[in-house]
Amino acid sequence: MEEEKDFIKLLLDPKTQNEAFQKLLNTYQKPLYFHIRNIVLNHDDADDVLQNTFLKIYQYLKNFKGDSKLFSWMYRIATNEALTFLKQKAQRNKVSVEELNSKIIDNLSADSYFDGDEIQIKLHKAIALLPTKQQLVFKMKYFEELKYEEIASILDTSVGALKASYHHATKKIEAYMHHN
Amino acid sequence: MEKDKLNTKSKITSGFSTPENYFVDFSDKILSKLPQEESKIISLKTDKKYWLFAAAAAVLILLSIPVFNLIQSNTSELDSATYEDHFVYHSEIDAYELINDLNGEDLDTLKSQLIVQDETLETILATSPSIEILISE
Repeated sequence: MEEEKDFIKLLLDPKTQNEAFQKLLNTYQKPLYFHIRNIVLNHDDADDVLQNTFLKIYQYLKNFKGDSKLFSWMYRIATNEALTFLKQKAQRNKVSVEELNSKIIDNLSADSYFDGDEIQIKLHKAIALLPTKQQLVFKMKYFEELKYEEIASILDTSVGALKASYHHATKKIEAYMHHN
Repeated sequence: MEKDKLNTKSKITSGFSTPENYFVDFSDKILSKLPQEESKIISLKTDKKYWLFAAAAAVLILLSIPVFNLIQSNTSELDSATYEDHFVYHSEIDAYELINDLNGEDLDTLKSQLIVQDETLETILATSPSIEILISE
């Protein structure tokens, strides 16, 4: 925690800010990209959202109070940016977020940056049927392999609630995979 | 059913990938988009007295323009007659003192400079009654 406080000081000091931000970028760009990509599904959209996320992180760093971990704070910004992006895209296309996701998943096989096969597409289809919070919990735990404590601090919920949510999500997905 | 279990050793990946060197390029792209160091903001409060001085000086200059113009116009209207009148009315030397100070040489010089034609003298005498009084004196 002390180490993080020192790092935040480096991020806020104009003399060391750029160097520290570069370090932050190198550490978090990959996990945040895949976190965003799991929500928006498409590479180009994930790229846009990731850019906005890091620009917002830079912009709001001076307001970061250190009440939560820098890690959770950045993941929260990324999650909000990705969910907002999806809503706006759905509105522009005059469809619901669910319909939009379903359409993107149908086109996944044509995506240059999707290496999966039928099993993966089936899994994404199953996840898309879950409520938004269960989708988030499942993706963060199953694909991103975050700890329950980490997910709890990002989504501002209890570990117990998360465990229950993940359990329900897994059961629903397994059922879908079995019947389809 | 076992193959449908998610939490097994053969975990299903998301299948998402990125373009080659994406994260190297992304890092450069973001760093180039970061705003440059903010320019120093000069507080008006700290330099308040300088602003007040500057404002006072500007007002003074503006107010002095009509006064300056007045002086300029008065100066240009002063002609030789005005100077003559000024010396006549403000000189401490009267006509008698001036005459007493002139010696023979000065009088000769004046005579040579002030040659008045007879016709001219007649015209002056005819048109200027005050000259007659002077002659009779």
